[in-house]
Amino acid sequence: MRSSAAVLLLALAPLAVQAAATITIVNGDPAGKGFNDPRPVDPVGGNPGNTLGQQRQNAFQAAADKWGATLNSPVPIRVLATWDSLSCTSTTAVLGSASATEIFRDFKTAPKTGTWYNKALANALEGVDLDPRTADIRARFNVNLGNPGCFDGTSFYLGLDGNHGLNVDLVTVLTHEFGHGMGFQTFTDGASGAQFDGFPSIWDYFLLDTTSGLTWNQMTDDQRAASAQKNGKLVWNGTNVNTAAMNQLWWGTPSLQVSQPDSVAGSYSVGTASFGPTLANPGVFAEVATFVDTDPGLALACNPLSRANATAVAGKIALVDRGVCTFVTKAAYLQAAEALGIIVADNVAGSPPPGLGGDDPTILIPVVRITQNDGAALKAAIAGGNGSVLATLGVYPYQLQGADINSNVLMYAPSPYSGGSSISHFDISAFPNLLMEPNISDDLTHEVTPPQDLTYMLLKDIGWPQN
Amino acid sequence: MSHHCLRTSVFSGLLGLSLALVPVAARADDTKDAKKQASATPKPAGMVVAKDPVTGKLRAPTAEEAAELNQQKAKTAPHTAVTRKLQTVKGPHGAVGVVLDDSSAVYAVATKTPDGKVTTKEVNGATLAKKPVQQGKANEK
Repeated sequence: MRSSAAVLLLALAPLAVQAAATITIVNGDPAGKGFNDPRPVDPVGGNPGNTLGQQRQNAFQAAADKWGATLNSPVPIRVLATWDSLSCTSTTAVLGSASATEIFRDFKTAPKTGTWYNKALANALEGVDLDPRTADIRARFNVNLGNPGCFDGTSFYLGLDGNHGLNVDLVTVLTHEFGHGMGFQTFTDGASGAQFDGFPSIWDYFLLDTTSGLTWNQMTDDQRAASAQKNGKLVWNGTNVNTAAMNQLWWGTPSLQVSQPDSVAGSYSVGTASFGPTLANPGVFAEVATFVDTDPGLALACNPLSRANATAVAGKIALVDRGVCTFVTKAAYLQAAEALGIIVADNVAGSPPPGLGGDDPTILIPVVRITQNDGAALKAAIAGGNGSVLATLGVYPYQLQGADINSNVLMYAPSPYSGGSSISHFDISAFPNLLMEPNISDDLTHEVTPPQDLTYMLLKDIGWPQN
Repeated sequence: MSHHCLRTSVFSGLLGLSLALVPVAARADDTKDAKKQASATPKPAGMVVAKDPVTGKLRAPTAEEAAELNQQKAKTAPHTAVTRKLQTVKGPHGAVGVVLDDSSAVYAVATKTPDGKVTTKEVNGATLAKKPVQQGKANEK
């Protein structure tokens, strides 16, 4: 059994890799627990530890080494880490957290005055530890994960090779959470718009609302709170991120492009379906039509279409309403009526429009979901009688996946606001998937730099010294 | 070059860490700091009694009643950004620092879908972290 003091000494020893920043994991666990758990285990996925505690330590150090080899700081970065009993049930579990312990403003070398910087970044810029008594990042992870009653049977994968199978890849989660601790987060409250103690975070200078042309540091609290829910309109205005994105994110964004009438012309966000054909370029170009003999909101398509409705949607893109029956049921009836494509208008408020679940290999026409508001706008245009509503349902080739039409990378700004996910993450539309989306994808590597990832580019934008 | 940080405790830790850390002997300063933060976890203020709906007598609240009361208190609590008092840190050359409490922490939360896949999302603070993640289902309508 390795004593906690010995592990601590190991953690404080210089890293073996040639690091641009030294990151140490400070073991805060008591003897016999967490990092000091003496239970024997077999080496796994390149992790040579032969006790559970050693393997946990190795996984933490692997994530720390990745950041240490990437960032540039003359001041050692300390991560105070413990394994704790965090909340969990058999199907839902808090995995863990790593966040800045302190923030600083108005230090001597601060690029912007009156602006909050997370401690690790402030230290790197200042060249000294602004509070040597306190670690820079506080990390807690769930010691019970995989035990009965706590995500039963699904554990942290402690290997270093990413082959996590159905388990949770600890190194990926750590790399993500350490990213927050390094500064990938605003300290402004996105729900209320209130700045922390009345000062903006450095993050806020790069958060641009394209509907107003203002960055968050230029807004009132109310403007920020509204901006936080402008899905598709809140972008990162940093040169490093947006330049790298041009060569990293894939071109071609699933969308509904309405070309006329002018009152509704534009690009609409869509949620794609897990069934039917993949949206294509060129897409399906046709008139958008809805039912003609139902009350508003009740174009449900849960039964074979009436003759009038079938005639209305045949050879067109059918606009119908969510509700009552499954999405594949609607699709089957509309396909039978010879619709060329399907738009399902959501029946609850919220943005972005979620995807459509279901499975039916007989569906051969494209199906998407749009928001309730967008659905109402298109229905009004159809009812208005000012000419046909013409649209293309497919992939818009001139837009990066995860960026707006001007190739500014989108930030996650759903409606309603989602505390902890909104604002301080890249948007979930990014593809290939990015480390700092609010959901951790299965296909992520452990990389934080292009061409695999944009996280380091963002940290450079907010001021991390060049490597 | 020597720098002195002056930590000024000017508040009562209204939103201190909600996670108790096991005290450990002979630790690095960082760990001592963690213990100090843990010790700042807010304690219930004042005596709480419940009125028995049957007898009408006052008694100690049951666990359920206490939990419900805590939920109500949480709902009616003023916004944290307005009410929390900050624990400040004086850095060198006029630097102003603030100790962050757990409400600023970002937690990763995982949910298992019926088909055995694991999805994650991020939430703020330990309280929000306890909420289950809403998942789309294949038979969603």
